[in-house]
Amino acid sequence: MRRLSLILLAVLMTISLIGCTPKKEEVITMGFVPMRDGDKLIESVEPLTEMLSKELGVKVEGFTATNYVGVVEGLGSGQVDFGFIPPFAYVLANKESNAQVILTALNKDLEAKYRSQFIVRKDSGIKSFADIKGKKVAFVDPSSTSGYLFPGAHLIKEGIDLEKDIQYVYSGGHDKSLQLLLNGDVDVATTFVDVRDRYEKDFPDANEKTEILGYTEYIPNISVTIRGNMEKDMQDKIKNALLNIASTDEGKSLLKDLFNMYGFTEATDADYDIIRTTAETMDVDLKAAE
Amino acid sequence: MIDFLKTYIARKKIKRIFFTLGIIIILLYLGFKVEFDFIRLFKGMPDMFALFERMLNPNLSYSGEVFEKLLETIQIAIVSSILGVILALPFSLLVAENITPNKLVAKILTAVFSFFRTIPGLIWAALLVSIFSIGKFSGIVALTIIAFLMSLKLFREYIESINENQLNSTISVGANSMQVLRYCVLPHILELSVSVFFNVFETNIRSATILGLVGAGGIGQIMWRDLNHLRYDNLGTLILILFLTIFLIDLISLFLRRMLKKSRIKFKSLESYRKYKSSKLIYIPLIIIGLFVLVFKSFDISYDRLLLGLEQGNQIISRMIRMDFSYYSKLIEGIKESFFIAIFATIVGGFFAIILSYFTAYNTSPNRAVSLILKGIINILRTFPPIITAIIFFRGVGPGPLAGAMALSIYTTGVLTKMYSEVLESSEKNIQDSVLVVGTTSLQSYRHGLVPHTLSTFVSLMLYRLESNIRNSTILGVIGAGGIGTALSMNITWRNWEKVGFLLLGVSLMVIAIDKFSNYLRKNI
Repeated sequence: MRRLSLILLAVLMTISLIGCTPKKEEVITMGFVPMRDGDKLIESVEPLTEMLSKELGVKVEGFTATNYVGVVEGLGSGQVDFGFIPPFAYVLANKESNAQVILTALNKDLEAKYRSQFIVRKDSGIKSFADIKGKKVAFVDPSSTSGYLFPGAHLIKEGIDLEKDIQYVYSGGHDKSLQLLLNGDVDVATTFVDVRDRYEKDFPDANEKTEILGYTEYIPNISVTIRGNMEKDMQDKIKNALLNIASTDEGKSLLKDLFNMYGFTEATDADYDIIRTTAETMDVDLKAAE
Repeated sequence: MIDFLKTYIARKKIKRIFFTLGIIIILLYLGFKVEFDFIRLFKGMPDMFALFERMLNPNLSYSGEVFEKLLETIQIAIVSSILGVILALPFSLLVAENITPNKLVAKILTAVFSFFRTIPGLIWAALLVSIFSIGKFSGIVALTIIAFLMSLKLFREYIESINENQLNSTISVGANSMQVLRYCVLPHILELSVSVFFNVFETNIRSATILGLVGAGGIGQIMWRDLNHLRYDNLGTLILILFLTIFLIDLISLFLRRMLKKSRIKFKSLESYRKYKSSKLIYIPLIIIGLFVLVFKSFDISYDRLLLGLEQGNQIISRMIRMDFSYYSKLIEGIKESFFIAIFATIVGGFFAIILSYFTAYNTSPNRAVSLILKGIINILRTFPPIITAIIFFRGVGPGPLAGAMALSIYTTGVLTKMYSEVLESSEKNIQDSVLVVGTTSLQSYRHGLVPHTLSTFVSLMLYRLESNIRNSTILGVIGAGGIGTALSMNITWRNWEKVGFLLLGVSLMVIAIDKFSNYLRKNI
């Protein structure tokens, strides 16, 4: 008993001891959630945070996550100050905690948007969207913007009832959708542009065996989102720092090589309305419980 | 003589001081490594609670959909658990060191299976989708593999713990090795297999989250969807239903185990025993045939498609073997963090479990009501998927290993308390009594009677948790809560199999090292 209480005391002391470690200097925390349909595997955000620290004069700490939920919650509670998050995640963060988008990344063609494609096997006989009726379609997963929301909404606009007219499956990944299509498990796959080039090593015959049936509407690129209660002053600082970095040669090549971003452009909340309306078409209920 | 006693007491005191000091140092070090910060945790409380509150508001109209998916999951989990346990039985006879026909084969097989056990669900999913396409069958195969590996480990450890004397006594009456199996080993593990089955079944329902990834639907898919849409009210419903399901499984398991114990009572006459024997001969093959039919029915792919899949699976594996060693800096960094998170969670969980178990086990708890309430709380703790707890903590304390470490600590506390309190409940009453009789309090009888007696079981439970915590910590990386998970899942998405192979090698080397260490500890305690 005595020993037990001794250990208990020890643990309590330990906890309070560690708890009293000197407070760290002020830092800005940046989260990076790469888009699964992005063009670059993000290994490390450190080169970017180092440049940002220099620009801002405050230490910037960064981390990567493959799922956005943590970062969105972090933005809501102030644990994360700003983040590179996918468009759908921005809409959620905005709804939850009034987080604001300040910039959007530009792609190779200096556009702030991308789209996804419908691909079919050349020998499948599917020539138009009307032919899809009665066929098997592979979506990526129910929370994928380019692999479900936009393609699904597109099919609805083409007059196809997702529940009645087609059979669909969730493959779990753009690469897997392509694989299912090539293997003949499904007749139509919905993926980013162009999944066949990205995974050429794995599926070398993809380009010759499949063709594109059509494209969806444009989707905004990855967003730079700041937490809702950030002072205007700081918002502008971060925005200018990123724009400055993108304007220097060094910064340009870093963004290009590591993140496949070709600069930034200012963005407003309205740019992301398309995500909201699409989500509505797809009957994705974004209502947050009050 | 008195001197002797005095030195003994003095030595014991010194030992105790060193022990406590050692614990403090280890905890300090681990706390430092996972960036433990009491103030940060305290400050994050309101934010964490706000999120938790949203889950406390379950959306009951949603339960219909959850129920439908749950049935799907249960169906898959039952089939795969049965298959896994049945497959593991013969293999366990091969790999258990004390009865294996060939020590070398046993060593090699154990190493191979240990390696397989470390492979995360994500990889199985990727491989299985290549081979069998998506659908229920891939789900069943994935879960069967998990069930097989898990029950194999449990069986092996159990067989290895069979007393040498018992084996020898059977051999000494002239039994050959088959007869030893038949009369000495099998009766033990058949009894065990029921509880292993329920253990595995419960784990399978929980790990059904990976089923969503192989497109087999089930509860995992809607859980990820709700999480990704931040529908915490729906998540609350889901967890509530999951909680009730696991509670029900517990009850059925308890009931069945009791019934089995009862059914072993003597038969009224030789006649009835013979009848029982012959009926056994009929219904056991029937069950097995039925199972095979069930499995082959879900086998809905053509031969050509299977060949194509095998070829693609083969491609993935051969690329994984060509490991990309240039990736080691990323590996070391991730693996270290995963390791510290897992160790921290296991020690903290173990510490709380040993205290909570006293109040939870009904034979030690000072009060029946306390025991019941705690049992409920502990079931809730272990039903909460660690990834969701991690998100709650992430909201409070931000990025870094702390959120993951806290989430896993809570989960480990729940699981360990449940397991250890069951060990306590099944312990002999006279152990406790023999200490009580010298006039100790109930707590002292626990501390000096039951705990020392069951310590080796507790340690092996803890080490088992450590291994599974390392696997769990690879999932936490997905939301940015630290560990090797981020690198792993990103490279899987990119199909960089060479890097995936190397990362897997790192993880499994770590787990195997822990396994070895665990065996060493078990033998020396």
